[in-house]
Amino acid sequence: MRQPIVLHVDLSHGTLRSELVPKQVTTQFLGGRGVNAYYAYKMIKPGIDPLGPENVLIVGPGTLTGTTAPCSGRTSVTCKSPVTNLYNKTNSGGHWGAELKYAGYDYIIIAGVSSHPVYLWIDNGKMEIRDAREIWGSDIKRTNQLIREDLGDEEIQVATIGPAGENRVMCGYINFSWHHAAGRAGAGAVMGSKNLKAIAVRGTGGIKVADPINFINISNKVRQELANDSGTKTLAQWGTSGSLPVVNELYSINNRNFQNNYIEYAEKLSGQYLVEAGYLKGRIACFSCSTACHRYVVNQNGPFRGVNGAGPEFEAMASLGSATDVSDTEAILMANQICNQLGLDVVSAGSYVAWAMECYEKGMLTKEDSDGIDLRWGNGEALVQMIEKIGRREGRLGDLLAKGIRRASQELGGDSWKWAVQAKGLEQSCVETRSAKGYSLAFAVNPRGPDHLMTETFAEYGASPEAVELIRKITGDAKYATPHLTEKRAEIVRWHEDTYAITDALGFCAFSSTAAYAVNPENMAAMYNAFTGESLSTDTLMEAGRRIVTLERIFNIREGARREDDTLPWRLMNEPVSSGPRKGAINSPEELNKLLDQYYDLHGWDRKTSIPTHETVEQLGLLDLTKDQITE
Amino acid sequence: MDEKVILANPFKCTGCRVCELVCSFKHEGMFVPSLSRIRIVKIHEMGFNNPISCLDCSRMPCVDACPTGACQVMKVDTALCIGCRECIAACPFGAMDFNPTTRVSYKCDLCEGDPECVKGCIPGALSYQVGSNQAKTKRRDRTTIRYELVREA
Repeated sequence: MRQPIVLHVDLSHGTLRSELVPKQVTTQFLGGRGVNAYYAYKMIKPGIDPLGPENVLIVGPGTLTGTTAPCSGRTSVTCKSPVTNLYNKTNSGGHWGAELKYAGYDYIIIAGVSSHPVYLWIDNGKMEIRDAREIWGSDIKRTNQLIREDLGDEEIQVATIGPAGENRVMCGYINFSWHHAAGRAGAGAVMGSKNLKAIAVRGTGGIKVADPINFINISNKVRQELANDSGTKTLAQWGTSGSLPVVNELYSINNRNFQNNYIEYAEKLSGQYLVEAGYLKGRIACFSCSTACHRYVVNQNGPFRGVNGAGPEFEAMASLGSATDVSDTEAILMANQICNQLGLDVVSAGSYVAWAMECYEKGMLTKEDSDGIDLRWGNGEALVQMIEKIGRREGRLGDLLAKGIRRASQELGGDSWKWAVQAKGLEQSCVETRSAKGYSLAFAVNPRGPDHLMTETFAEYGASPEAVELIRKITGDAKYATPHLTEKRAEIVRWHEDTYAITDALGFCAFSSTAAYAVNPENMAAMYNAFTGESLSTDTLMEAGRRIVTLERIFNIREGARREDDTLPWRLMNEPVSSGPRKGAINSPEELNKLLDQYYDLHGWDRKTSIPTHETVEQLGLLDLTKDQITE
Repeated sequence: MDEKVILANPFKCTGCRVCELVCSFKHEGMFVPSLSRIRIVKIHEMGFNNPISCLDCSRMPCVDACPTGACQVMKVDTALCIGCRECIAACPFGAMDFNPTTRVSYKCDLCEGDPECVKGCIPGALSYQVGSNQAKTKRRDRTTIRYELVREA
């Protein structure tokens, strides 16, 4: 294993240079998300404009990406978010990260703004900034084709934005290797603001391991354990949306912009239905993943024919489907495809439309605002048309929604801010936090806003014997494996935070470490040690995770975020769950405050401000990095 | 006698490339998919993945094309290989390839009868079996489909 190399790209001056990542940085922050966080903290000055030249976009695959470590192909993207004006880490699967490693690089840091559209070409250690004026405006698929034609190599991997990112749509995403995306909090808009269309990579080199025999044996063993996990089998067979009917039966689905929590047509939005109705044509795997939860779907019939590409995940089915009350599977498939081609985060794009539909229902928006589109609940055609308009920033409403629902509701006025289901400015993913208290805490303290892919406390549902066992391990008692309790949630959240951080740092998929449990911290430590030749204990590895989480917190503190920003969307804190066994459940301010107190105490962060105390910062070895930055 | 070969079912392949990883690890001592003896070809526009490796042809164009006798059944004798790439030109499938560092050709050697790629393929797209078994399986699958059609009619 060699010391990682970072490639610095300055688009304002058109310069490229590479350097070694200091040993101390990889020791403290491991890799991927962790090393990204270090550079983000060092390079992004507080108060800068996220869409200006001072923001940097950091792209870093995990430490183990490119090896047989199971499900280790993921890449973290870090920048200051234009949606929240706070820290953003977003993460993608696919094959791009491994290709970057084989090309001889580990991180790319993009600063400045180019005067005209360009793309970056990295070919086995040779780097070039190329003109992208001919490609600018192309959708994701066409961009991939054009770049391969331009460079004459089929095996190139491309990370690219679509028209949405170019247009600075607040949910513009970065697509990785055709079918995968770093979706959340506007990373694509940041890339677009830099006039950077794509990063194309070709690598034919190899990755050497410190202890090869041990490494291959452990990773093969973990791969087999993962394959035998019941959760993994379901995921492979039905994809992520296979669990949608179960979530619905828990009365935890987002329906009509979180006004309701149960739908009658859940099976139409399920992974099972994609198979039964014949839409599913294949499964797509990320690099080094034997699960292949991603779907490939085709539909050539009916008014929404012409679907041929990556299929909807759980969040796409829920956000584009149940949230807008659209039950027509084919309309959702088409809306999902438009998101994939224009480069839109499905979670936020669906939330935008759901919010607009509620405004339409309540008379705040009319057909005049929407260019004649009838935004009534459940109108699949309206959904498809509106998604296209958002991505292309067309019409008055398309342009308004493209600003994200916090800004859109501020402009629209009235009570519409109450229906904007966002916190920190980011739209909440389709998870019902009122009846899941660990989730509610995790969402409130999430540095990028309320969603499940910084920290998800799936185990608190106790849905499998492994999950119950994990809760027992964390809290000392299996009785805490129920999401309705507020006790021990801080402990449960923190274990998941640490685990998520090392999962992202090493390049693993969260499904393999916190939904199935084969890629557990012990196994991660064993693979990391065999790869690097070090001998970290599991605790040391988890502590590195906590160091990453704490640095991310300090980034936001430096931007001015405090305890009051650790909150949840208004609706979830003020309107109770409307039906089902958890009817009346709510994320009340009192309850959240209690959870936050527990959480800050556990972390050693000040209760009043949420600022990590001097002792905590010192204990985690973050004093040198952060000492001049925090005042209060 | 019918020999065991690596058989690929592209419809089961998810494109995870674990086969490339374990193959290159076994033969090159590191993770280097570009030198794997088995490669996944991806048609992204169709979501289609096709694993390609040596098919162990009965009459081997690569062996016939080799001027030095380096290219043999499931083996390239690197001491004899002059790096002319005639074997690559002759192979109809692109299963022969060339190592630009060592400047000799390489091909699948079936890992002494225990292929790593097959062991690593959890989706079950790769199997190691005699060719006639493949035909038998295909006849069975075909019959099942026909039976379903007859029953529905």
